Amino acid sequence: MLLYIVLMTIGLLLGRSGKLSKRLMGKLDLIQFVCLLFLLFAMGISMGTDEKVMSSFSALGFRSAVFAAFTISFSVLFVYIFNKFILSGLDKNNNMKKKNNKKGERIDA
Amino acid sequence: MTLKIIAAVLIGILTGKYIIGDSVGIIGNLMDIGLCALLFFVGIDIGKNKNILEQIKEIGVRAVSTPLLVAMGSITGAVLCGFLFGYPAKESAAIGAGFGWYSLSAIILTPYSSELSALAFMSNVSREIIAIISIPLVAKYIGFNEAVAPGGATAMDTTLPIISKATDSKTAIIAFVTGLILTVMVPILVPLIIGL
Repeated sequence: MLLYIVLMTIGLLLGRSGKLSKRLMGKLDLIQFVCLLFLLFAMGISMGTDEKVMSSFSALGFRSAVFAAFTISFSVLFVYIFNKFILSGLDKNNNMKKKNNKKGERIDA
Repeated sequence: MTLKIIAAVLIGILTGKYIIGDSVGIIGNLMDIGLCALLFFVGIDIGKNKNILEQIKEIGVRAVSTPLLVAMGSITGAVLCGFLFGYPAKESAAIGAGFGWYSLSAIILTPYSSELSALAFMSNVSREIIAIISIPLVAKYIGFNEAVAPGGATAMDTTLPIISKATDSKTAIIAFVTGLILTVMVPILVPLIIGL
C-alpha cells in the first residue's frame, strides 16, 4: 500500500512540475488504458481459474447489483443529510452575518 | 471504453478457465508491476491539473465535505448490504471503498480472494451503470450537490459529462474535485481495510 502511495505521489509531483515531454503527456490516457486492459485480463485469468467464482457467477451478479444500490443510496443520503442540517445552517448564519453587517453599515452611514 | 474493459475481463476468464489452468503464480507478480505503473501514470494525470487547489478554495466546504460523505456513505452502505448476504464487515467495506472505480478495487483485491475480487468488480461496474441512470434523477428530485454522490470516483471522468449536463458549472467542479479525492483514496483505503 505504501508503494502505491509513493508511486502516485511521485507521478503527481512529476505531473505538476511540467518537466515531462508533451509527447508523453499526450499519450497518458493510452498508457493508462493499456496497463488497465492488461490488469483486467490478468484479473480475469485469476477469476477463470477459480472454481468457486465460476460456479457462483449469477449469484454474484445479483449481489453486486444490491451492493451498488446500497453504496449509491447511502452516499446520496449522507450528502443530503449533511447539506440539509449542517451546511444550510452555516449558510443561514453567514447570511445573517451579512445582513447584520449591512444594517451596521447603514447605521454608520 | 466500458465494453473494452468488460471484454478484457471476459477474455481473461476464458483464458484462465480453458488455457492456463492452475499455473497462475507468475500472474500475481505481473499484476503488481502493472498496478504500480498504472498508479504512477494516474498520479501524473492528476498532477497535471494545476489549478486544482484554487478550485478547491473557490468551492469551499463542499469540495471537502462531499468526497468524505460519499466515502462514508459508500462504506456504510456496503457494510449494511454485506450483513444481508453474510459477508464479514471488512470484506464488504473494501467493496464499498472501490467508490465505483471497478478496475482498481477488484485488482487490489485479487490476491486476497478471487471471489471477493469478482464481487468488487461487478459491484463497482453496477455502481457506474446505476450512477449513469440515477444522476439526472437525483439532480432533478433531490439536489445538485447530491447528484455528485452516485458516481463516486468516476465523478471526475466517466460520469462527469452526465453530472455537468444535469446540474450547473459549480456542481461540475465539485464533481471533479470529489472524483479526484476519491480516486486518490481508493488505493489507500482498499488495502488498508482488507488488511484489518
